[in-house]
Amino acid sequence: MRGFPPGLAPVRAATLVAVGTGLILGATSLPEPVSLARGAASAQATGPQADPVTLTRAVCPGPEALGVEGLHGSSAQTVSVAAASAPALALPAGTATGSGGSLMFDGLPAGGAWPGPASLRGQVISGPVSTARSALATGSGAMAPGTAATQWSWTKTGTSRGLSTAACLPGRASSWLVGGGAAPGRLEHLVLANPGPNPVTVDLSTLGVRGRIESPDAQGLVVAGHSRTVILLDAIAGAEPSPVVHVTVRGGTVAATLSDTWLDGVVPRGGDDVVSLVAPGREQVIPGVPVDGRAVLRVGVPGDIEAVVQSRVLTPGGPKVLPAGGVTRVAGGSTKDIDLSSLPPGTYAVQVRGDVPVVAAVMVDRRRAAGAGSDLAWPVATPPIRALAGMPLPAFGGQGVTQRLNLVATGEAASVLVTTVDAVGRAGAKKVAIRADSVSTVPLSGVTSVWVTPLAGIVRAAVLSSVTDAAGILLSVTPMADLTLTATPAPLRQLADQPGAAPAGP
Amino acid sequence: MTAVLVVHNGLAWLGDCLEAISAQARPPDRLVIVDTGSTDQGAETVQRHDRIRQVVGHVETVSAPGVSTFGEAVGLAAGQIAREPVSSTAADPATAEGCPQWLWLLHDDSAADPDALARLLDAARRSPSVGVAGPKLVTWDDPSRLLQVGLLVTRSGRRVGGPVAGEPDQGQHDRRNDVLGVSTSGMLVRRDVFETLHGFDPAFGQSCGDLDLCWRAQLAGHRVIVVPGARMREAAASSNGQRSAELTVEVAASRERRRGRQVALARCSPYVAPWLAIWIALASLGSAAGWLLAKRPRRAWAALGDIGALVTPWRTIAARRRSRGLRRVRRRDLRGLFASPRAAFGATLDTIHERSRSSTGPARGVEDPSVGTRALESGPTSEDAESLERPAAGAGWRILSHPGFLAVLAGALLAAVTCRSLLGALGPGGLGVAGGELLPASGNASELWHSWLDGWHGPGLGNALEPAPFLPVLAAAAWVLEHLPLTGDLTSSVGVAIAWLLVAAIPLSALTAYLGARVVTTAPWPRAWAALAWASLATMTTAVASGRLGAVVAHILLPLVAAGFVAATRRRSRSWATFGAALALAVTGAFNPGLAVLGALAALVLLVAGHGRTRWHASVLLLVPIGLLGPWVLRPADDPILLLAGPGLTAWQRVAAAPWQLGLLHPGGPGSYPVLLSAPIVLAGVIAMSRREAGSPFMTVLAVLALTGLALGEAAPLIIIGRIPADLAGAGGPITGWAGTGLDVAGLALIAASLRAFAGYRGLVPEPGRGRGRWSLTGLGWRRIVASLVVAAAVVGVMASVVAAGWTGSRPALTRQTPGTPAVAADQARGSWGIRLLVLTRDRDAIGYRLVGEEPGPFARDLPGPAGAPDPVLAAAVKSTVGTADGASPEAARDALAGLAVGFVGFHGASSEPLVTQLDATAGITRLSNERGLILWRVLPQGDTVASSRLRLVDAAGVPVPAAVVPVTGDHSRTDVSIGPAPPGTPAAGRRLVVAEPGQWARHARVIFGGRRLAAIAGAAQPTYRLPATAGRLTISLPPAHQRWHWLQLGLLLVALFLAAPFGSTRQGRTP
Repeated sequence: MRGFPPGLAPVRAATLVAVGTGLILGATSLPEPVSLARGAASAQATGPQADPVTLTRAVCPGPEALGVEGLHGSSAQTVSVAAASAPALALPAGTATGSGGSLMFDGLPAGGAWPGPASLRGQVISGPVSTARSALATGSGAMAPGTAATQWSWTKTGTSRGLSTAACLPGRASSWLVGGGAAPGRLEHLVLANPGPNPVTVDLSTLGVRGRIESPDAQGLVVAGHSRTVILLDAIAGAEPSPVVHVTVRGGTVAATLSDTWLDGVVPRGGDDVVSLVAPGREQVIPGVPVDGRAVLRVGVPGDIEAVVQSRVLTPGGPKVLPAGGVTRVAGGSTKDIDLSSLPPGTYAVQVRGDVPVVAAVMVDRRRAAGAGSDLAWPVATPPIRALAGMPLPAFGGQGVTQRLNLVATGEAASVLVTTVDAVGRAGAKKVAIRADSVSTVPLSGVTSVWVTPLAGIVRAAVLSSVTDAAGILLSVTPMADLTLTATPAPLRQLADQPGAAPAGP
Repeated sequence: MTAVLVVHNGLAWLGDCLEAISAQARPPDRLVIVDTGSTDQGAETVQRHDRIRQVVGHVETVSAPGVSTFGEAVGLAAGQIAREPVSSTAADPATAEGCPQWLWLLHDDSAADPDALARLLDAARRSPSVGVAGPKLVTWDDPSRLLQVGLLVTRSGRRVGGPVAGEPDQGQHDRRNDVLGVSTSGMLVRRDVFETLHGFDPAFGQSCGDLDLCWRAQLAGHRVIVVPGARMREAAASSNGQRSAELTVEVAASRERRRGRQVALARCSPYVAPWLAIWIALASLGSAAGWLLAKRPRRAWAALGDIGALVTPWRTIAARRRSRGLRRVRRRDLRGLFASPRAAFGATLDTIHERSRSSTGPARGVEDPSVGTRALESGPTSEDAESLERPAAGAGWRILSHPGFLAVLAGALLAAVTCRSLLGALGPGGLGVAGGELLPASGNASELWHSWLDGWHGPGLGNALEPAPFLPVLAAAAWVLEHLPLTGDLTSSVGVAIAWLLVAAIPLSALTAYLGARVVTTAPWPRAWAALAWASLATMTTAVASGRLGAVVAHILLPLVAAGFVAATRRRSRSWATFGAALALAVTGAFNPGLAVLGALAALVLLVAGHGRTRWHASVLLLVPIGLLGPWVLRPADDPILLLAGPGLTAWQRVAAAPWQLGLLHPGGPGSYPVLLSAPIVLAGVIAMSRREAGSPFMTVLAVLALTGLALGEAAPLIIIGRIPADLAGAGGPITGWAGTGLDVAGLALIAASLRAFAGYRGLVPEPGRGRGRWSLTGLGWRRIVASLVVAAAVVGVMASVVAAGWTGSRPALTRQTPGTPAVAADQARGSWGIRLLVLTRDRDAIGYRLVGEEPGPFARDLPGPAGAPDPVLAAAVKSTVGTADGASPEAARDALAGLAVGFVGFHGASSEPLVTQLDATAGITRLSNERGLILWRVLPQGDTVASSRLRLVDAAGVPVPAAVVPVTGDHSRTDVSIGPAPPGTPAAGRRLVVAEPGQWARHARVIFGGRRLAAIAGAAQPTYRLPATAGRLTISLPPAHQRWHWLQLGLLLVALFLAAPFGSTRQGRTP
């Protein structure tokens, strides 16, 4: 060190510059960084694997007119509920699990007499409900995949004469109920059933023809756990002729059902239950619309932007354009009724397309003559069936009741396997082909439950029940919900104990 | 008037002594010579001395071989005098009847001035109250140097305030009159007083008999005076170790200290004595500690020896008994004779100061002997010398115009401008800062300390990995912050400490650079330039703006480390500087492991290439940091990549800086300023290395260092050291090391080179003798013109960098930290149950989960740890919570969560997620809030117990027993609580303690109940212990994994801190 000749100092500096420049140039020209990283810290690549569900719940609203908040002395009402698990024949491959498990009813709130649990697929359990409670059908274990339940009531005489059915559905955090009206004597009971253990808070908002209807009474309704609350829509949207109710739930889920009944003076005009199966979307398809007389398509726009809505009906022979092209404008946050009464009698499906998400349903009315009694039905939009849809059929136990399965295929031709279970528990299946953008009808007779397994195409289904007696025609349409057969558990990943701070920006 | 001369092997002085007696202007009437068993020819000398017999009328010799102490010898002589009274002669009428008789006590190693006895007698006879008088003692060899002017002691018997032995006699002590005591050498004592007091007390023997006798005389109402006019030379042979081989200086001194204390104990009020004893013990401990701090272990040992005075209490008690009934005056009347404690303390400080000042050499310049020519240096001018040149300036102005102060001030201004948005985070109520490389975390010193110390530590469920060594440093900083006045209740002292560190980093690094630059030059203005250049380097501004904790700490300490290395190579190197540098290197390495490796390599080179003292310093620089970093140094052996990372030292995306920008010391990122502004510094460094005048080997080392740093900086972005974890933004992306670490080293080398070459730059003014006094362009030469330009550019470049950094660096990536966990969850986490929050996130197809508890998370981003196997209990709990568990009971989720002490479940994401609905519908947990993107649920209690807790009591079947929860007092279920007995009727299987920690926790925990250590039940999913039915105290601790290592570390730290303290050393220097 000591012997460094001072004369070499410039050489030292030159070396420094040369090596430094070399380093910089070398770093510039190196194409790719070298990796010394430990084994890839990427996620455990366990592919999502679908397992059959082990627990399914369906909530039937129960007697809709009983237990209205702030209203005492309601008249007696009895409804029937039925539940069944799909026969193995109808289940797609891989979802039929072994034996074990059960299907049973319970009350919301608990209590009441219930049929004993079923442990056989295809077996229907049913019973009456005449107290102010909802019914919770629970399929567990091997019986869980393909559990469906239905509620119905058939009042043949008196002021409450009518036929109404409801699909029993699991609770939802957000429901859009399209139904109801403002005619004198028309009552809408909103049944909010909380199948969960925790209390939930429900906010209601209503869309009307003139826009949103704000009501302080509609905010913060608390529904206790394992319980139900019934309120009258008139309390929050009294004179709205064309309401669409949005039910939002905080802290849990609620099965919401809107029961629309109409007593025109002393003339029973019937009624039906409206449930919510789909979220707002730019395409809504309503299967099973039996038009023979007055029919109204109601479209609601949840968003703030005006929607341009185009609607058409699908017939057995293909799509059919509505008069005036079926194009109409609906202001944001409001509803509009579109008259379909001019359609020739027949069973249709209605397809609604909007440039923004919309909700839609159809009300059909059957009345032989002015002044006579009549009955309402509310076919609602349903989601496409992905794996299985089905329901135990309302067992009216009377003569003259006709039940038909209405299928609709959109976009392309479709085929489905329709499985029916007869009264002795024998299952039979047949394949049904549906042309593109058409409807198809399968008559159901002597059948306790019907199941639709899609094989190809996009299919929706509803069951139409009707009875004709001396006083007129009663009818109801029951939408078929897409049943959840499998659950794909989300992979769980234990995160490093280093909170996720975003990297610093450049 | 009788003189008593005690002789004991004092042949060397005896002749002079006898001569002095015979030369007295007023000789004694009688001389009694007591020979206490001398083995030399002392007796013959006395015999041969005829003159003494001529002068003194009556000389007699008493041989007393069995007598050992001076006091006994004098007592013997006094007895002799009493037996054979000499009738008064006509020589002195003063000895006539009625006049007091006097004893003049003499040592054989003393020689009185001819008028000494006359002056003593004169002073003593002036007042009848005088019982004892003593002369001024001067050294034997040089009578102009003082030895003793009376004995001045404190109340506790410590000798202070007297002249320091060897102090020049300028009459400064001549005003003394009344003193507590005088030495026996030349002591004139009234015979009746001596006899009344029964002479010397045997308890104090040779050493402090004089003090004791005088003290007793004072108490008996006789004054003790010192007569400075009477002078006496004294060899003090006994205390100088000249009289016998076994009585060394140290032994004599320490005995004297002890005896002094004992005298005080014997003569003070009996009520005060116990307190005095306690005080002596405390004071000797305290002063021993003080001397130890001043690195004077011998003095410390001597001070500690004072305690020895307390181990023989019978000595003082006996002495006290022997002097019963003699006291005539109140003790407090003697108050004025003692030295005050303040004077005693001041004397101690003076001694320390005296030592260090006397060893500080004159102002020195550059010490490197290799410096050949100093053509451009202004010469060795130290600040001390300069400040002496301007005595007119006031102290305030001197500080304000001090270049180092100005550089730190400029750094502080730059920090205030760039970090102005963070100033609000410095308050005690905040959580500090987050963003950039700083993660949102909070904690206090104790939590952080335990996260380093405990065998089971870390956030979430915890781990047993070797914790990072910087944690205790941060914890210490937080601890200091917590104990500062006015800081009040800190929410997150660690966060606030980090915020302070970031804000103070720029001025601090200016300060350390200014101090460290002293090893290169002592010229203050160039050092100020270097300080500002270092503090405003882009590596620093970007590190501060991004919160790169490791880089900031390293930048502050690097100048000190480097200065320590340079100083270690020098001939006059200082141990304290090397130990200081080793400590700084250890802290740097704790935060920035890469630099520790670089430092260790440099120390190895010194160890191999150096010689003598340098090797010793090099080994300190190598071994002390390794020892201080402790067991952590073994971790990079398993995973060397750790050396490329550190807190805030990783780059989680490709750095925007191009290689040429790195070459100009700009690593890129927030806090950057225009790159070209740094070109002058780089250029100045390179040109400096081309100067042949500057010290060549030093420059070559700097050149190598600069290239090494540049290579590290250029290579860092090209080496991927990890991948971004799956749930974070940019998942799977590369993680590289931060380029700034290497560039910092290069910057240090370049700045040091510039400083070395241009520090003595005198501008264009020709140097005397070189330009022959002429000012002409031709006389300057192109070299000096280039140098002028380079210096000007470097100065302007640094100024511009400071301004630009202040201008553009005002947008740091950091923001004030806001609470990451909801207040209610954070509050309960710190409560008695140690409740945790389960955080769920939705990441594409998967659900991510993480436990957040009281334990502080990482404060700065680092290389992500290896993805460990998920904990099975936690995984099962989450599975049951998110509803994917099979056949679960309705409240299985709640039970599983409560078993892990989870009191809250949070979900980061939209409330429309199906998972939210699922959680809402889960029994036992209920929605609490939805704020700032976190939906929060509370886990409900089961029955009337607390819902979740870290410790719970269950029966054999797992059912909670009454009083089911046990509070915790620390992280990871550490606790110390009393537990009541099991209620009657508890099943025979007894109760069990279940701990909500993972299974491995049990291997590190020490669970003690009622004094017995419990063993975990094998095979349990969670740590479970059988708890006896009796009441008892439950203590759960997590002993460190390397307890012995930690003790060693602590010991090494204390020793290193002690040795690094820059004062007290006898070889005090100012080189940092």
